[in-house]
Amino acid sequence: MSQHLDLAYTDFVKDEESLYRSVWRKDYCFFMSDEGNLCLSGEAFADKKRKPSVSRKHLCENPPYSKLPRLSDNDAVVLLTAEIIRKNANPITHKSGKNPQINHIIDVIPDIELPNHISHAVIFATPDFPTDGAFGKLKNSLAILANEWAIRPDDEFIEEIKQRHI
Amino acid sequence: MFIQQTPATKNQTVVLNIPSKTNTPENDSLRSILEAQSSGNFYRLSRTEVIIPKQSDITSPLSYTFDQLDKLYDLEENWNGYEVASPNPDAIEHARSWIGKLYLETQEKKLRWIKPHVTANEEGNAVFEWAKNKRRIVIYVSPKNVDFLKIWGPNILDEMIDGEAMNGISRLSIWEWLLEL
Repeated sequence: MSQHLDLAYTDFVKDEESLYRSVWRKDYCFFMSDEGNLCLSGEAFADKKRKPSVSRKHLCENPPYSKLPRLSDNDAVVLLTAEIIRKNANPITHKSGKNPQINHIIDVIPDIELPNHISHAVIFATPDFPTDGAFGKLKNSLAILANEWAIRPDDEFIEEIKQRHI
Repeated sequence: MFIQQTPATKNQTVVLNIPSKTNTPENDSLRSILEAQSSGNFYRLSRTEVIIPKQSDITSPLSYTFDQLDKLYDLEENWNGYEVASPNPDAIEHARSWIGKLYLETQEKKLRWIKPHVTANEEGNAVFEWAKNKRRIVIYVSPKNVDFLKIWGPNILDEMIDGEAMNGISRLSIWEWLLEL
């Protein structure tokens, strides 16, 4: 029974759960809007397997400064909830070239296969994204939805990209 | 960065749909380079070769963007910590050509220019991004194709449209949409 409960605990990401995404290489993942507002790039969610990793807040040891969610000491960290992802990113309807249109259902699931940390989860599509076009939509949706900071980029960095924008 | 260029063939006619009314010295230089690049009349040498002409001398509105594209060459595999590919050199050069054409087309139409954010995706494609008011444009440039994503909110079903952006008409249409609000 206890094993069953433990499995249930780690096997489903509840709607209300807070999820962190660590943003490394900030110069490639943040930019300024025309009005001078800091924007998160969709490429902050770029992922080889088209399954962006997130860390479940309540399973991190000392969030948001612990590793995980932070991949390195200089990272910014943004916050999302599972509910907002499920609500806004579903479904992704995409047609690539002459291929038939596909509806992708988006969800978040734990992914704790070793060597992953117990807090590790992934945002994924069913069926898998066949091309990066549909995944681009998901990345950009996540970038807009991640509008809460856990660790904001430092002022010096923000000033630097403001200057670049001019 | 454009690289020292050596003619590969002679007497080849190059016809490009590049605006003719943007006859500033900067745009003329940019236009001639884009023509040469598109016609395949030049060998591309390694990026460590002598650079002629220097970007900042010929295309000041684009020099920062070209510098950012050059920096993509320095990104290695896994550059963002999530196992992504390193940017593809052919995608970077295609992106340079594409953004140069877009710039010239906007100048022809006397449209305002906004510097893009330059980055790369997990496939190694070059990516341009702009955000203005609640609108965003994302351009994905692969070695062969250019795709756009127009975004006006996070909802994928109702607030995003994608398509191809290979020709001048589609480029300008996307740009005008960004500037509309």
